[in-house]
Amino acid sequence: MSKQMKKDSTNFDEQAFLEKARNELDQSCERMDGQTLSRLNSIRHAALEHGKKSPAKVFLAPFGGLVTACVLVFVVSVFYPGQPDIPDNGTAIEDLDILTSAESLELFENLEFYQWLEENESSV
Amino acid sequence: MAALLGKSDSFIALGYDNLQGHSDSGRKALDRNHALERFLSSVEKRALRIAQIATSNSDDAFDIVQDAMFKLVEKYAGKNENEWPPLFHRILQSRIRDWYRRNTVRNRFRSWLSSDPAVEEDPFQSVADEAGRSPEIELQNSRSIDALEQALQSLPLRQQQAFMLRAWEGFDVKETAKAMACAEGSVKTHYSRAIHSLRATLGEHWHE
Repeated sequence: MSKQMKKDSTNFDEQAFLEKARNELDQSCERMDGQTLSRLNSIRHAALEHGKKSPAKVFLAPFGGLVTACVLVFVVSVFYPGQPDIPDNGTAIEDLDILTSAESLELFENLEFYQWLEENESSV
Repeated sequence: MAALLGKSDSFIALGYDNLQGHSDSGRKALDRNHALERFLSSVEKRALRIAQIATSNSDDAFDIVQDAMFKLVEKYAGKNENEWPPLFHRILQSRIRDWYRRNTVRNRFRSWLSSDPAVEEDPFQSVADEAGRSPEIELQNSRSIDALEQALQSLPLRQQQAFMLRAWEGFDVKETAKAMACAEGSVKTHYSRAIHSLRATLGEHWHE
């Protein structure tokens, strides 16, 4: 699609806009400081080492679904009834699918930590 | 005796084949490791920027990128090399969504348990410039990217993800939908809204 075709009635050149955005983001990568690059280097090597050491835990795979189901039942039964109105913290409606997704239940494992964190912060 | 000699020859031959097999598999593993390192080197900076913009927190961004690298290496190292980019970005975006959900839950707990929530300091404000650049040069270099970064951070996460994957990573709609774990139609909607919002925030002439 030509640049001209991308221009709309208000002369907004989307291709030029995207090109500029890409350039700015690329340059921000080029400007990364030594400390950041060193940290990236470290985590990359740690990941590669981790790959050499840990074989996939295939034997646990069949239990994954069962554990997920149990956690889901527990969370729904404990937290759903009588839940007070939740104040809106500016969460966009468009991100509702992220919040309601059952893709990962990792966050529920940390609920006690957040409560502890809050208690500690309020006591300080 | 001849039979015994024949047997020992075949044992030696078998041992040699075995050794050769081991060295072949060792070489393949080494090649794969080099390929993985090359791939991770090529995506790590961009991955970090994506995570930094999504979280506005440098430490969290590093954690997300590290998780994504670990998962790719652990689970998908054996996959074909051309499958790594979409897989990596799918993991990365998944980790960003997890972070977003955790953060939302934490904020809700704060608002439930505290009537006077503490105002969090922006961690980027307190980070010193390691390169020692002068404020004038830094201002000149960063004014444009700062405006873009702030505009991107103000977008809903879905729009931000769609924009970063489509506009910066160059993914098509199908690849973006896979990475975002949503429908292709949703990608188009989020991307279109992202462009519209960025244009409104940055102004018509930001790119000129």
